[in-house]
Amino acid sequence: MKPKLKTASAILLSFAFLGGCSYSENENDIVSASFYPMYLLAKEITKDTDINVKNIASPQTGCLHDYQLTTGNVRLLNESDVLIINGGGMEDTFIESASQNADVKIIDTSSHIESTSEEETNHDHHEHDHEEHDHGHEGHNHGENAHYWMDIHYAVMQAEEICHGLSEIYPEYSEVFQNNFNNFSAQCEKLEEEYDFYINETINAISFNEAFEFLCEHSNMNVVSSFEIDENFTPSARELAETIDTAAAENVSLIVTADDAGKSYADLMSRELNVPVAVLDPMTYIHDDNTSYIELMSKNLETIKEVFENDKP
Amino acid sequence: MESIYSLMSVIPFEFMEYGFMKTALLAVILISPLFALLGTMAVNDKMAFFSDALGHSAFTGIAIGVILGLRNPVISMLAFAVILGLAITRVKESGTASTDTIISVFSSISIALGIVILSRNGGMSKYSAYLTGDILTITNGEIIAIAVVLVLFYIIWIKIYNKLLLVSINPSFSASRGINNRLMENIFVVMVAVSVMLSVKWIGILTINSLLILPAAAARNISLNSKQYHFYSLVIGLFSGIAGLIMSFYLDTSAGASMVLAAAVIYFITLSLKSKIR
Repeated sequence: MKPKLKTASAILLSFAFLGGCSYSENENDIVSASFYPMYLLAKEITKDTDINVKNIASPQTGCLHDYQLTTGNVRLLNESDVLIINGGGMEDTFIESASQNADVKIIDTSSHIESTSEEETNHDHHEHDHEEHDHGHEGHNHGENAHYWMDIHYAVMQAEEICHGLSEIYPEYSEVFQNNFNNFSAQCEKLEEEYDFYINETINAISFNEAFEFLCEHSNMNVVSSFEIDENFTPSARELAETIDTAAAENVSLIVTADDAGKSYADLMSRELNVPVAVLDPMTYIHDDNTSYIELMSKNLETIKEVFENDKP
Repeated sequence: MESIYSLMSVIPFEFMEYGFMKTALLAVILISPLFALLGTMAVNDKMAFFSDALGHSAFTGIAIGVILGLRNPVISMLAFAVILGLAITRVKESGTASTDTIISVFSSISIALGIVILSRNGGMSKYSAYLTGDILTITNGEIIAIAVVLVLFYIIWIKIYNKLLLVSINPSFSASRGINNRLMENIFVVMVAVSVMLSVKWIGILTINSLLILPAAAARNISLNSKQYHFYSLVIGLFSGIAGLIMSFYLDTSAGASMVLAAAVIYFITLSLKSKIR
């Protein structure tokens, strides 16, 4: 190799390594939330404190089932002092990565829900009596569904876990946390009443996103068939045909989906059955920083109202 | 469209009872001839991996669409694929490396760039449907767009085919006859880019190239002249498309991949017939 080429190669290599030296240590404690719904709940609890919650999984990710951590995500995980997770298996990859960070304190927001949901199969926390769900597809029952934040009641429980967890770590703020939780809980209660008030007759629905099964339950919708569309699963023609037949027999009057891969199938089903589609927000896609959990959940209610008013099922 | 669907209802099979199967069948009837036509030239020109690279570039096209905040990324996908296609032919002309190397370089860039941009913006799970595609979710509006492109491309093909063939067989001779070689190649590249991008959502990034190449490759085995080559390619494309779709309905399998398998079976049949015919 010529001397000039050797020098150039050496410079190139040193730049490649030096590029990583801009690392700066943050003095404040880092509280991070695994993904957006947890971030929203944590933000409610940490209002009016110095704690600045960071969201790990980046915007527009959707659910964490198939999420791949970026280098920045892993870095934030390793720098975090507190990690707030949804639990229920949603953050399996996160936990693996966080285990390299022995000092991180993990707040599992669903630890209480998981134990109660096993006991309370009848969902007696809720005022309605619901028919048993007849899921068209195996593996999509509540036992595995970890989209707890989409159930307002569960979301309050999750917020409570965050409140307790953070109060133990930062006792100086425990009163503020408790006040914030009380406010949030009151707002949720009001919203829950609105949902109950609006939809007072049980209807059958098809869901194209597992996240909405809890929400449907709150809205008096009986999910007769549920699909979770991702790169591992797209329904075959035969499955779609069978769902169409079931839906027609069960008198399905609403299809719910998120604005993701499931939407084209929801539209297909809507064309076949002549049934309206409600495009709801599973809260997994990031919004502007002023958005709150209550605001997004209210928007979902608005969407359902609009669909009902424009095209009464 | 309604009259076409009611006409299709005459077909006395279970799968025709469903609207989405009628729409999918119509899409196959339109996409297959388009691909069969372009495939003949891609096989002649040894450009099989060119369309593969274009298919992969869909990722970058989608990513650019996400950055620009487009609701439907098809415009950015089309724009990027056309630019990529033209860039590949330009670099290919410079003769710095063999065609397969150049195509591979661009293919790698376009897939990596797409993944980098999408991961920066929050992962690609929302667009994972593009990998395998699903012709079952195609809508009437999209079918009309494909029909318009099909008619337009057949007209262009009739106009430029002889020139294109001459350029592909003997570029220096075609240049001496006053044909603008670069223009002809570019027209072909743009046609492939537009067709691939319009149908990649329905066929899937992973399988789209097979649908372009297999019918033409099979037709080439058994045809004796250019007319036969085109005709067989079209018939094989149509047959494997329809057979694959129907097969997927009854076997409960992915539609796009079933079409490709049907075409692959025909390819091997024609391969065994090759020596007998010639």
